[in-house]
Amino acid sequence: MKKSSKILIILLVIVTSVAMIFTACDKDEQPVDTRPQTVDRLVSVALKAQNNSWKVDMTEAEIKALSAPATYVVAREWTLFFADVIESGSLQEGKISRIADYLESAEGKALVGGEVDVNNFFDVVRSIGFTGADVETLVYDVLHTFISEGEGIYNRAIADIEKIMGDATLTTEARENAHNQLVKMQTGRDSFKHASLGAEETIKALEDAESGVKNLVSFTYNTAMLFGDGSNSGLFEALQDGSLEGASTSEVATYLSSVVSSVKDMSATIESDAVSIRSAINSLMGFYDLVVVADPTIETIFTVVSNYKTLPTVLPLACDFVENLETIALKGDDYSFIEGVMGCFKEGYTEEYDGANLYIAWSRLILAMLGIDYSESLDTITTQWGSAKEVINDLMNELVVGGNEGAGKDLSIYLAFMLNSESEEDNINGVKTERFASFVLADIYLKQFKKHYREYKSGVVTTPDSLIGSANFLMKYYSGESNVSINTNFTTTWYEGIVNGTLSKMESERTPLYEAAHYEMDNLTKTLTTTFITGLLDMASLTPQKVGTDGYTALKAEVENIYTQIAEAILG
Amino acid sequence: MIFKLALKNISSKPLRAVATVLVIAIAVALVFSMLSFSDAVYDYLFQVETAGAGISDVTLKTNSTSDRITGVSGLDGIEGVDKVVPTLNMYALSNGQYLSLRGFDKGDYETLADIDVVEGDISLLDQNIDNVVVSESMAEEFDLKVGSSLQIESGEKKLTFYVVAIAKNNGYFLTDSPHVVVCNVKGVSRLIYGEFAVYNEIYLVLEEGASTSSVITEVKSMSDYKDMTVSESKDVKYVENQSTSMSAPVVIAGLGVAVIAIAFVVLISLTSLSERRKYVAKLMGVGGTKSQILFIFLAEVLILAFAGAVIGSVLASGVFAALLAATLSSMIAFSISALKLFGAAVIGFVTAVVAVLVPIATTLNRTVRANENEKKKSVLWTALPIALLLVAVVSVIIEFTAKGGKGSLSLVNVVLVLVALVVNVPFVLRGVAKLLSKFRNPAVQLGSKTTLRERRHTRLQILTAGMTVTMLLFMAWSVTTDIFTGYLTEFEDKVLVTNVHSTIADSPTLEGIADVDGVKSAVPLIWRQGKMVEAGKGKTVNIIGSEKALDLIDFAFVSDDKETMKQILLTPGNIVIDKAYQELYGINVGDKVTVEIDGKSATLTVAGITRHKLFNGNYIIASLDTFEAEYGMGADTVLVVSDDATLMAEKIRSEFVKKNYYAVDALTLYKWDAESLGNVFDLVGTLAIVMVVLVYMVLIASAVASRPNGEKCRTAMLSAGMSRKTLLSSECFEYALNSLVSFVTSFAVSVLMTASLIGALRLFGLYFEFMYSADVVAYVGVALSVGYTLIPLLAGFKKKYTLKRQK
Repeated sequence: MKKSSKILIILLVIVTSVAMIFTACDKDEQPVDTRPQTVDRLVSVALKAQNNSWKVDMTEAEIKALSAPATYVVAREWTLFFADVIESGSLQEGKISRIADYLESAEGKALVGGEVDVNNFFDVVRSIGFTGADVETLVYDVLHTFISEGEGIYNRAIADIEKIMGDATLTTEARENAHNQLVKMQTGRDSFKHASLGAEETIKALEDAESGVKNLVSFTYNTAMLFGDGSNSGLFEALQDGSLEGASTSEVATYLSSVVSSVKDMSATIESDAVSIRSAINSLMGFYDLVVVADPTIETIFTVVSNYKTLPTVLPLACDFVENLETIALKGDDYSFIEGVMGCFKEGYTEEYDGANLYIAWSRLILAMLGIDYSESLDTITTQWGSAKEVINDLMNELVVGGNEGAGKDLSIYLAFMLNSESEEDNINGVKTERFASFVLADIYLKQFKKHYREYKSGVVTTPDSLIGSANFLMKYYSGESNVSINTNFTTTWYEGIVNGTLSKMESERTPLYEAAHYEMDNLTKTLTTTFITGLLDMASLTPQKVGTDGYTALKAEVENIYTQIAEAILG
Repeated sequence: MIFKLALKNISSKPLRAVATVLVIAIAVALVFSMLSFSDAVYDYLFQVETAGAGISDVTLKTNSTSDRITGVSGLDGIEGVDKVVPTLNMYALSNGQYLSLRGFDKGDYETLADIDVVEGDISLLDQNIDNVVVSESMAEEFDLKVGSSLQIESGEKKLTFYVVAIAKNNGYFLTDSPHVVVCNVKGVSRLIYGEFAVYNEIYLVLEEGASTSSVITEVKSMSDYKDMTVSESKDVKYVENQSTSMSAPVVIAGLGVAVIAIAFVVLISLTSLSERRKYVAKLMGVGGTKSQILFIFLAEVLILAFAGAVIGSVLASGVFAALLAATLSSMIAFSISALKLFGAAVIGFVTAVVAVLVPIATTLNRTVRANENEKKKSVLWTALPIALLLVAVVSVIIEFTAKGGKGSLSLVNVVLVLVALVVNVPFVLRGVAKLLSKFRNPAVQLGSKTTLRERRHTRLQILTAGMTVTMLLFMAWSVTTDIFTGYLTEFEDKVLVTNVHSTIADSPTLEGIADVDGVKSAVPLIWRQGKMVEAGKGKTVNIIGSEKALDLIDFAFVSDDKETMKQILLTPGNIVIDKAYQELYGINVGDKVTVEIDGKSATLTVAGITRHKLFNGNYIIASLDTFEAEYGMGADTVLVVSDDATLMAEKIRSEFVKKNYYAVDALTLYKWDAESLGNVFDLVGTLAIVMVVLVYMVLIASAVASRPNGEKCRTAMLSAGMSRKTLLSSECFEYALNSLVSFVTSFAVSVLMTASLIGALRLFGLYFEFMYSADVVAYVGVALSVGYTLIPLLAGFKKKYTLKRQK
């Protein structure tokens, strides 16, 4: 072989080797999609948390061998529904694993085994580390998917239960369970069929208000996380347990500013989306009224969202209050107001939950929200006081006569009723207190009636006792008579007759009662602007003392004295 | 025909041709690398300096990272402002290690700098506030993949974040010390308040042509930002200062390497000069014209020089990339300057051509006989070495005696002394050889006489030049590393606690820090950077803002004793400076200097002079009261001294978990700086090793290439009955003699050159005390000498002793 040929071959070998090395290095490893497996684990763990013997892939024979086979079928369908929502959503895989981990824990099992209420819901999401974005997406996706695809859950469950029931060897207990669940599922499916005309409209309303609804969800979630709900370490708890002890006044000032800025942003967003949000919530509630949900988590979500109805009214007011607070708190370079309030929460000052120092702090904060700085000179306070009177008047006007609908008015009615509840014979601007009571109770009973009806029809409760009780109260309210009994045929027509009769009566009562309430509110405003604020000012001006000292004993006596005076002045 | 002759010349001496091409190529690559290194360091530091601020022009910062603001209203309305990028930056812990969290608003993640994604999808940052991007190095260290969860805690809050992308270590992640985590501002804020948008650093990107200073002035006049520091995002002067400091040792060492590399091109060309002259004589004898002969050599040298220049150009980017990767970061994006590459190639090419053609042209002007029997050198040529020696001596005397003579003269002297040594060393060798020729030992006698018979001592000159420069490089490596190690040792027992309230000095226990078990002393001070206008046209200086620092750091007190100095500092407006400022810029006690910190200037009085290796002498000390009075600043750091700094940092973190202090031992805090500077110093060492290899390579090549010159004599000796063993011994003796002379002269001159080198570094604003490590120099010299002496044995000279050529 010639020398040149040898060199050529060597070169070729080198070039080929280098190319192979580069090709090997350049080969991108295809990431393995482990999300389906993670969701599968979640489903498995969630089922196990509900019943230790449940598995996702049980054979027909295994299911039939269970003492409550249909309960398993229904639970599996709901679990798979939530799993589908989670898998197709944006929740990070790590977080899905954390949910599974949580459900595997004793705490998680206890939660699944018990009733899901709002407080538990917040505990769960905090423990897993949900952000506002997670919660808003999950809530929206669950509602959207349930409305659009919920009927399938019932259909699949019915088919499986019917298959189980076809087995002649089924135990009596299992057969009874299958029968009960079948009725429940059929009721759900029928209600879906009944509501299907509105489903499309509800989905459209929901999609139109998607950003607004999501904003509301994340805002309320974040607010709950921030301020605390009594069972977690929010701001109030942090103030009381001394967690903020190390925080500087400037940090608290920034904290406050960020809260104000967030409330303002939300208020502006809600204002622009208010119409679509209300429309979406009304549609959702209309749908919810017709559909038997049969799942406590979705029930909770509907309940939470229905409460958002009041937010478009309340947020601008909240905005005014927090802006007042911010103005006073951030006054001057030394943040003396914050220093003063923080002084009430120093170490050794908050050992007793109902301590005098807390009253002083809250009175300072409430005054600040009304635009009054307790530490200012008398002249300034007098001027601020004048403004505060206007703020309170505006607030009352907003609650009583402002707006055309919403909870603000109902709120004023509750308030007027509560303040005049000593005797049913008392008059409020010529209207007997009894009428206030009936109006308020009718509103409460109407909600109860809807719930009892759904529970009875879905088989959650097997006896109609509660339904009969609430129905009779409402009938008596709008017609003066009641005739509901165990023999009544609880049809949809019957249900709608009671709901419409109650609403019609309430509507006719609303205007005179509001006028009466307005009169009462005027009186209340006068009381507030005289006695209440004077009392708060007296309280705010006190000097916080360390718990357990002689000074604290005297302070506590003084606070209680002022508190009693305020209560007497307001409540008569 | 002529071209064929040229090719024949090349192919008949393949080793010489390869050696010549290689030396030219290495010279081109080294010259290019040295030309480019300084700019690369500047670019790198610029990227590091702007890693946080990216393309922004103006930065607004709260006075402490624990101060935050909630909005950026009004900034986008300022004329000339194109983009406003508010961010929230804070330190938090993960697995007990600090992370630097950088929170951006939705959509702003890449407004300041691109995120170079290796894996994952950064658009997911918009999807959730607990999604984060981390660097490759962090992913490796924390074993993170896309989708992994990352626990981060601050104070009593512990949250989980999710990795959605892993980015290359550039842009925001360039220094990555502590590791940078990019996420949504609300994600970071959750560790402090909740999901709220709060900020502590705002970046403004200006429109093309907008005035930075007018925007700064306008921002400062806005009440919302009155408490914030508003400054230019890019401190070009600081980068210049830093890059000068970092690259100076390499620039000077590199200059030596480049000069030597070029000198080797000349020397390797000269090694075959006698042979070439004889060849010229032959060609002239057979009737070749001058132009024909010149063209043969021109063609030969052009081929070799072109090949060398081309290979050198190809090699250059590789050598340069390797140098940068070894010293700075493999992530640094550098560009090859075509002009510099061309310049380096031209230098190598022209040097080689000139080195070959000039002697040939001279030869052509002589008679054939003269070329066969080289004529004696002219008087001027003979006087040149003595003249050079005299000039060098005078120049060195001026350098060390005259005031203000240091700096550029030192740099000149480094080169001048070396040249004088190289030119004169053959005389020393001849003198020694003459003395030794009187010995009766046949090997010694033959070796000495052979040495005396040689007209040129090119290999000796190569060896001496190489040895001296190598000694100097190892010396420079040793000095810089020693100083740097001393500097680091000063920090070994110290912890720096930052993110403290500016009022911390008001608390007698420093809010409890001083009471932590194991704290020997704790001092609140200002620990940051400023600019001294009078030093180096606005040199960046390190500020040590407390008179108590005199107790914590082991200063040498030059102008007064420690206690007097402390008293002096208690007078507001007084500062103490390092002796380096006196030496470099002539600043003395009593002088007024202007010091600028965060855009505020004040005139301060130099009241004392200390001396310390700290920051290479680049520091000023003043009392906290002075900074309070002149700049309205409070302490920003607590300097804690304890037996175990790492343990103490952890202790402070856990004991003050609610306060979110940033407590790290000083060595960790300066880890990046230490590594970068250490790497640059190591580059000097790398160059020294490269130099040793280069010198040795050239020596072997030169020895082998010039073997034929003495063949006639060796054959004659063998014919006369000399044993091969004795002949080998005589050759070994000859090499040993060269080594000895080289070693002794280089060793002596290295002391002088080290002094001049330290003086030359002052040109770059670097101040070093004279330090000389004789052992380092001796080791290097002995190693090279032994290596050179062993060439006859290693190259197998004995095997080539033969009588066959004798006809």
